[in-house]
Amino acid sequence: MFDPRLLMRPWRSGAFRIQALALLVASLAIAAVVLMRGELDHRFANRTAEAIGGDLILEGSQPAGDGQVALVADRPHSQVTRFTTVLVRDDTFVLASVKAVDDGYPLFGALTVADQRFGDPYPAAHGPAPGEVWLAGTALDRLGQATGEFITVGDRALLVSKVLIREPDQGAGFYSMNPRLMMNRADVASTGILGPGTRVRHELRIAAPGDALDTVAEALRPTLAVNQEIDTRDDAGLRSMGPLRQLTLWGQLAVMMVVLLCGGAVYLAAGVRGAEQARRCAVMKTFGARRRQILSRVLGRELVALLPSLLVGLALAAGAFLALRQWLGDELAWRPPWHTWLLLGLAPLVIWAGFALPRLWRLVHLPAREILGDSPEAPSARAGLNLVGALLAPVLVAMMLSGSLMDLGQLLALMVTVAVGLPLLLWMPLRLADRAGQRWPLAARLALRRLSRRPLTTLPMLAAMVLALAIMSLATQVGRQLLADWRDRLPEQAPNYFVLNLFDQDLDAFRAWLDDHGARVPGYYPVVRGRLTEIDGQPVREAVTKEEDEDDQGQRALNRDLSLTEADALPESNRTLAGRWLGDRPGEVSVESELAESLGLEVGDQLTFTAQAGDLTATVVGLREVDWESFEPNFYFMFSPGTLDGQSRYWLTSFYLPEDRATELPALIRQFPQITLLDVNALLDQAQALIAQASRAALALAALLLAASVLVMAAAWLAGGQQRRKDEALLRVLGARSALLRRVAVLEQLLLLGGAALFAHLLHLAALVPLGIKLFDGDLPLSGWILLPWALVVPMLVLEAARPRNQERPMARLAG
Amino acid sequence: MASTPVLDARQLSKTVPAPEGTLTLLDDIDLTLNPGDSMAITGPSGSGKSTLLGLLAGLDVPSGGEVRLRGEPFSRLDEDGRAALRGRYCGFVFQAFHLVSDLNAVENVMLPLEITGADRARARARHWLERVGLAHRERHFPGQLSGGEQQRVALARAFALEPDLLFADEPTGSLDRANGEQVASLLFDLNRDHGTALVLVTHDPALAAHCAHHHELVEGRLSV
Repeated sequence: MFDPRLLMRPWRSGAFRIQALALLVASLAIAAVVLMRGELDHRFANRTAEAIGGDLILEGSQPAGDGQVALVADRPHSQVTRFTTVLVRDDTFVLASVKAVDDGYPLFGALTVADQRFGDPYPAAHGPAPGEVWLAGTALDRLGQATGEFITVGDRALLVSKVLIREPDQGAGFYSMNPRLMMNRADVASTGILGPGTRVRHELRIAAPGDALDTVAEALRPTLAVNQEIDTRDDAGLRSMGPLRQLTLWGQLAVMMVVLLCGGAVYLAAGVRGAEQARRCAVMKTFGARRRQILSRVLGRELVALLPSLLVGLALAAGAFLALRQWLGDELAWRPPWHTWLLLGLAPLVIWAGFALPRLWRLVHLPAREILGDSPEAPSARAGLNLVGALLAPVLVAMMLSGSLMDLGQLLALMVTVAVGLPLLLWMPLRLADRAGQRWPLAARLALRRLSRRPLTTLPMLAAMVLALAIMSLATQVGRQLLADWRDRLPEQAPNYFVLNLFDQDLDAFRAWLDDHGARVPGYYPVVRGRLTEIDGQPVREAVTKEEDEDDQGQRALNRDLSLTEADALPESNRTLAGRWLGDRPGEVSVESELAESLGLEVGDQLTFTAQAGDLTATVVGLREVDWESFEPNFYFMFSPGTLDGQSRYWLTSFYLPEDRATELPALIRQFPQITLLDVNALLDQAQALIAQASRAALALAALLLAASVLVMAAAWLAGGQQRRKDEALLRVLGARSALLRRVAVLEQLLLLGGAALFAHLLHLAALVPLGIKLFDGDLPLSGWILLPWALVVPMLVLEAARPRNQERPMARLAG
Repeated sequence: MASTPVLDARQLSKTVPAPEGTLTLLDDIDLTLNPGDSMAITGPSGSGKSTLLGLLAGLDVPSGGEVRLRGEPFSRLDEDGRAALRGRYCGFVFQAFHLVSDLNAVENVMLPLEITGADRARARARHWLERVGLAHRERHFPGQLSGGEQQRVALARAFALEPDLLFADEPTGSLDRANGEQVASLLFDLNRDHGTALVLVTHDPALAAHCAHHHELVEGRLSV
């Protein structure tokens, strides 16, 4: 009968305990990243669907056909029509973005409305009823209108029944802020606005969660008319989740490093474990045990005894996952499907199978007479089998971590670069030290040689420690101090508020208010929204021959409306690099130098922009360098005075108001309710909090990396233990005192850990260089945190120095 | 006046605790070795040869009796004291060579010189490597040397300090015949040329015959 106590027996072995710990750490790291990525992806997909108004949008200049609507009739769907129109009251005109909605709107989230201007906001499940409109507060202010009154939209008078405060699909961005109007889709025809040539978008929005998205898209795709296209939450997510994907990729890379190190620790420990088990297997074989019996009694029990540590790793990760979910809120919580849990359970087994099994498998096949020697060595696996295991296991785990083949390719490429590149980089100084060490004193030379003569163990260990220590110190400095340091360096009266949506008629009163309150204002800039359409008369897409690159500054500038401004003087935070500053005549433009380079613009080029009131044309007369960190309004395109005349515009400014006068700002907002006031300090506080969260996550990953490298160190120490004991015994025989042996051991750790701290320190400094150039005028933002690697390493060295030494007699150690 | 013996063991015994009571490994051993003398200790497996060598070399402490090295009470010193005396007066050659795998040939030979703080360690090590015919291999690591070459490096290491006493434990036991003869001849040549006293533990009667004295160890006791 099976005795459960047999499963406790392997735990007596140090090699088994190292294997179990390594698999626990790997299991924890993999599960934590997979679960957290799943949770974030799920939330992101939901938010994206909410932001674009549906999981799938069929959009076009004509409404969706009846056949198309019928195809999605069994799913929640909604039809929305969007266009712009001018609202008129007496002699006041306001350009408004109109959204005409049906009863199915909104598919996700809720509208926020109020019964009157500055009334208490509350959620609304559906849009306005026929005959009514909801209007944004800024439009009400500009038109001098109140709720309960009628407004003319096209040919139709509609009742303003509520103030529209927020739409779930409003989209982000401070500049896409035409005042909004929402009406019922049934009223659109009666307004008479939509005629031939009107710029209008018709949308059929469909809720298709999870895999249903592909099914719906496939059903609709064959029915698409020429003027129709499909946008999905995945496409929109890809457009906007760049930074999140980058973060996820780096997180996955860190986990793969943990996996490789844990694999290394398992590999080394399995060698020792194999030697421990070899004699038992040989005796079993001698007495007639079959392979199946050895498999079940030795390997089977070994595997079963490892299971608790895998479960503990999984449980710890699940705990961290639940904590994250609680922190993010439960309303959009992701329920991991069963196959995710299955994969998470399998991942550490894959690592064990890849790194330990080939070595232990030899026990099954090795003839007993080869093992029953005087001093059984670890049975060595066939090199090919080892290699296949060591290559296959990380690839399989990487497949589990990455969601797509593209991500897998990127992850594997990064993994190979770091896992091979960093050890190779460290190999050079190790070789140099080895050569220089030929003349070192005996203790230092012995210590150095123990490391330099075993590069396959030393380099991965050193690389992992360097990475872990560098990430820890960088994450700590960035998360705790860097942004605060940067804020401390800002000029004393750097603007702390930005103002958007300031209209012509309010400008003088607004200026007077700021003057009265002692605010410092760098300047006022008129803003017109426009898109660059032609360069030297050529359509911009043809003129810019550069390959499409979503991250390229020029491509980003081409794909959206830009803020265009006029100025008569070069702003303090700008510097002319080529050409000259703008003259007095209209029709001149100065371009930000990096964007100009990206678009291939030169002085003398003629640019055409499409704006609301028609096209604008100007000649490039100069290129400017812009200090984007100046906290003053900065622009890619600045025009000479008079160029933007006739365009619909608002004003933008920034100002500095002493903190003790911030209590007067509510009065400013009451006086100018249409303005958008951004508190820079509040935004920076938010950014600081986000960076602190990200740095905590990086710190946790680095701690796992450090734990994995310590495990490799322990496994290497265990695997080389016999040789080490023999070497120490030999030194004893040759007359070495215990002080020399202790010195060698401490120096070995000093070289390894001190080397790791030194390179981590250098890596940290190297990472600070671009930050220093970008944020600190070229100065390195040094701080006490840069010494963190040393602070972590010194206690480890003290522990090593204080560790009691084995007093075993040298003759026995030489024999054994 | 008679010179002080290099090695003097009196009523040496070694016992270890065992489940069935105390087990006696060595009992009432007396032996003396003068400068330049050579002594072979033979005996069947398990007779206690290596245990005796360990006690004589101060690598283990006796349960009874005493070992004196150059007149000093060797076996009464602590571990570090014995190590210091051993480093000053003794050299060793082992069956399994026992070179430090992380050090190259010349560094292995330098090892005892450096441990005892001898000057010109590298030059002296090179000289001894030359004596054993391995000057061209000084930068090779043990893994890059054959068994015979490793044992010659071990011989160079043993003689580098020009010790008063050399302990050799089955020095040819791991070598083929040709290499064994070469190493044995080198061992006795060096022993003769430098007046080093030799304690040789071996199974090989032919090797033992080269020594001036021959003792056999049977069941923990020495017979002449």
